[in-house]
Parts: sequence; structure tokens; C-alpha cells
Amino acid sequence: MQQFDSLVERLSRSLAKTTSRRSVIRKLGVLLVGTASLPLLPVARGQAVVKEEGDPATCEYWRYCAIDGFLCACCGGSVTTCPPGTEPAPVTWVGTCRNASDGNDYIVSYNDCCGKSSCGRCLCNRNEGDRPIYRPQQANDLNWCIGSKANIPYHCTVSRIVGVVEKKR
Amino acid sequence: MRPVLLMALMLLGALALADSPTRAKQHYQLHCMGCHGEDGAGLEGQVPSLRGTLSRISQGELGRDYVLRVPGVTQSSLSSEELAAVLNWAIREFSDAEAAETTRPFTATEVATARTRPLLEIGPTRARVLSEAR
Repeated sequence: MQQFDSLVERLSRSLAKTTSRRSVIRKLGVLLVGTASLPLLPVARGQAVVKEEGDPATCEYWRYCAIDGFLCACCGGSVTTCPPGTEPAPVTWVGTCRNASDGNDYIVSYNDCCGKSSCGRCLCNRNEGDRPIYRPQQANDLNWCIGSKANIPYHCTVSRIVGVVEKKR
Repeated sequence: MRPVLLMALMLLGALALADSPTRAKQHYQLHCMGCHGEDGAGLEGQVPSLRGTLSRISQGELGRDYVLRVPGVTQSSLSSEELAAVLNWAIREFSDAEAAETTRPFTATEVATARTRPLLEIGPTRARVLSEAR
């Protein structure tokens, strides 16, 4: 026990010799501020980055394999964001598209953006996996702005990746 | 049985079990999420929320019968096995742990039997089921 006491005493004395009280406070401050600031750093916290090729302003872009509508990327928005003045319909149609860059099938949610009249640019109508309208969950002919909280006018459609289809073993 | 074979079988079994929730989530995303939303919150006044309510409704026989006869189930292209897995996944995902623990899991047989009788009066039935589940 005495050995332990003397060891602690030696360590404490050596720490006291090499540091000042101010430096301890400074280091503690840096630690506290640094820890608090870490979550504010601009790190992408959404979906993982998907390796991909192609122009999101053309119908051939891989994520649009099941789209039926105007591309928001041509209408002041982007492939995943609605243009200013519109908002996404909460009800969507969901399909899968194969990304040739990595060979994976991705689950894509096609959200209509509502609140302004039709964009009129980049009309795409690709129907992979599309089913007749009597299967509404799998039909891309429906205007999902109707009945949503957003205003009725349909403007354009975004394509949001929500998952990767797990390959069958 | 040789130990290596036994271990391989156990590993395969574990992999199959581990795979199941992932598959169920994918089925939810592809067949249910479009209306009920990624978080199961639905759309007020138009698409019923699954959050908390699915487990509550599924505690009693009347509620279970209702859940298995709504259009999303009866018109689904998923098999009864897949539907049971999706429902059980949704109960775990959209309920608190205690409610999920106390809810009896759906079986494929239960789903197959009920889904052949689609509900006609959906709104009133839901209201009745919810009032009885309180």
C-alpha cells in the first residue's frame, strides 16, 4: 500500500511540475468545445455514397428506370430535391433499378413534387417493373400529388435511393 | 452427424435467420412504404399510421382479423409467408419494445386464411377495432 501511495505521489508531483493549472483548464476547455463541435462538422449523414455514372438530367440515367414524369433535375431541383416552391408528395411509388457501375439493384422511391404547374422539361417515361393501375402500389401512372397535403398541381419527380436489394444467396 | 457438418448446418441456420429481417424490410420498402412511409407514420386522414397502432390492434383476435383483410394485405403480390414476416418486422420496427414483445407474431397460415376475405367497410371496422383495443 505504501508503494502505491509513493507511486501516486511521484506521479502527482511530476504532473504538477510540468503543467500549470491554466494549461489544465485550457486543455479541458479544448476537449469540451471539440467534443461539442464534432457533430457540427459537415459530414454526410444520409445514405452511403453510391458509385455511379450518368447525367441526372437525361432519361437514361440509371435511377430513372421506372420513372414516369418530368425530371426535377431539369426543373430547378435535383435528382433528390424538389425545386423551390414545391414539396414532395408523402405517398410515392417505389421500384428497383440496377446500377451498372456497381452491379447492385437499388430500391428507388419516386416522389412527385407538388405545388406548381407541370415543369414541362425532360419528360421521361421508362416503365421497368411498372404494373397496371389496378395494382396502385406498383403503378407509375398515378399522380401522387392528388390527395396529398401539398397542393394538387404536379410539377416534377425526384428519385431517392432508400435501400439496396440484398442479393439472394 | 460429423461435428463439421453440424456446425455448417448451424451456421446456415443462423445466416437464414439473420437474413429474414433484412428481406422483410425490403418487402416493406417495395410494397408498403409508398403509402405508409419510411417511418410507418402514414398520412393523417388518408393512410393509417402503423406506429404504435399496429401492435395495439394486433393484440386481439378482431384486430388481427382486420389487419389481415385490409387492401394492402389482400391485394399484395407477396406470399403469405412474406406478408407474415413483413407484419412481424413492422410490429418490431414501429412499436416500443414492450408492445412488440407482447404481440403474438403472425403466421403464414393465419395470413393465408384471413386474406381471402377482403374487408368492404374498412373505415368503420378500423374505428371499432381501435376503440376496442384501447
